[in-house]
Amino acid sequence: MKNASCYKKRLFLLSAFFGAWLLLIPLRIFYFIGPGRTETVLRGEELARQSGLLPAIRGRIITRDGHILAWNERFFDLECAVPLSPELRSFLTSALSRELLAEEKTIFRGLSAAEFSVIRKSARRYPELKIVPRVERCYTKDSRLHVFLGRCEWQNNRLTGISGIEKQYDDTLAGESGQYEVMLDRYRNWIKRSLRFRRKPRHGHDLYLNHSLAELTAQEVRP
Amino acid sequence: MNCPKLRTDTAVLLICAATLLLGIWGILAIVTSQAEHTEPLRLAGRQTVFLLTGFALLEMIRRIPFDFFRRRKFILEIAALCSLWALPIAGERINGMCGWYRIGDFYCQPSELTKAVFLLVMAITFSGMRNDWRRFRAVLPALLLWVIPLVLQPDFGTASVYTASLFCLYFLAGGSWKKLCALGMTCAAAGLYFIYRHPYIQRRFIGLYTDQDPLGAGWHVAQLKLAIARGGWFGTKMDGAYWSNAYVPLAYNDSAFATMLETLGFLGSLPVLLAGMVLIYALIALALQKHLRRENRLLIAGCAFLTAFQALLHISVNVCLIPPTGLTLPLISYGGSSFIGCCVTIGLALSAATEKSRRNN
Repeated sequence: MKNASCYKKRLFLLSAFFGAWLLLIPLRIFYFIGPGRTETVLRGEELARQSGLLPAIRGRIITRDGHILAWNERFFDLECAVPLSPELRSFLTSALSRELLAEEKTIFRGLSAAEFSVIRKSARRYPELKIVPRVERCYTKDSRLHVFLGRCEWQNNRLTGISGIEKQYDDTLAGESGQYEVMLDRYRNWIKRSLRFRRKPRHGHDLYLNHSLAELTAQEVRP
Repeated sequence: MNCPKLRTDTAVLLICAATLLLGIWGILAIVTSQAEHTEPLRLAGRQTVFLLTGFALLEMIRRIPFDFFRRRKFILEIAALCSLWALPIAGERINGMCGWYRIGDFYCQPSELTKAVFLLVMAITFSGMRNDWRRFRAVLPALLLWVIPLVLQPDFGTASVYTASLFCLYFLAGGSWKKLCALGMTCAAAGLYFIYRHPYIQRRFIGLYTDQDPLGAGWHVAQLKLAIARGGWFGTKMDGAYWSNAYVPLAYNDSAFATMLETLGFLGSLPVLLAGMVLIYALIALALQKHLRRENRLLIAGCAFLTAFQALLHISVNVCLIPPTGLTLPLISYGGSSFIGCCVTIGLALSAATEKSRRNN
């Protein structure tokens, strides 16, 4: 080498540059684990955690002879956190049996078991898709009993009876909502195994009527 | 100015030990980052295979006389350049980057494997030139041939590693300050142009320096900060790196250092940094061996600075000093191409370092 000392000097200069760069790293880490820790953790937790009310399962209404007149049923809707890309749209068109909804967020209502399974399998590929459960109160098809049974409505994240038997025995049927805390990903999906209960929901009790189905349909029974 | 004094054998032993140790730490980091997944040991198992293959290759290349590579420089250069330039035709696009070849179930990233050839070619080229203008003129074709295919992928992180290594070699070979500054400014201008042309790079800067859009552009940076903050001084338990499992994007790869900080904490990650420093120190000590040829010394120094630059870039991203680049942490991050590429580069440097000793023996 023509100028060995020059090479050596330059090697040390470069080493010093990298050494100085390396020194910045512990300083930066020190900020996050020292003075900036509380603020960083709080901001991150705020971004990632969500708490809310978990509705209690409303009790069923059952006749003396065991016929279920009112019960809860769970449906699954599909939501998309971002506008649909052409690729995602073509995937959904092939995976789902019906047309997509034109609504802004909910793109499909009432997934069947097969559709649910297809969407669940592609959750990693399309994290922007979210399967949202929805609970609905269902009643026996016999329309003669509908006035007697009454109706329910969602009020403050609680299924509340607003008429008929549903209203009369609301305290027995409704139960008490639970409070949960869950972690969300950037698409606001719940992260597996992150659900923690602050208060567990207390489910409603089933209501057993003194009448049989035949008696109820034969005579006009009033609540 | 004191010169680090290390016997060649000791330096080689230190380098091999540090490589193996960092590789094992990498596997532990991968296990931690996957603890909550359905197959927690899948990636770690693959990385163990890569570690064994890489280390075997390192040992094999170390034992091959450096002259073997010197004589085949042209063939190696052509093969490496072909593998880089053929990517737009035969490569696979993953995450918007056309930088991989698919071989059965495996993906191979040629830009990781060609680093050794790049250093070999540039060290031989620069060492044969006494005139600074000739040396300066050699930089431009090197940038065009080696860096442009990386920019076209687009893989700006690896492109910056190649460019920085080229500048280091030029500087060590005796390049003038002024010309180096001119080159640096030209590259900075090109970088600014690319930032202007690619909105996704602008978004990364916005995400780093502002709190706007925390669920979009700022997501990666926010999760890295939180993983470090959660780790604290002593870290969480080995299976408690919850944030890295759930939130940190590519925790086993692009965010490997943040995962390590969450698991081991600041104090626990110091030995990893120390092992990396030992590796670089031993390489620099070898690059100062006076009995070696000029090209050998340049190659060893190039290997040291390339590895150091890539590691520091990765760590700087992970501690939120610079926006995310998508670079792996050498020898630690998951990835066969990255690990084997590092081992090949180190093996070549060791082959260059032991050449004279072998001749003496």
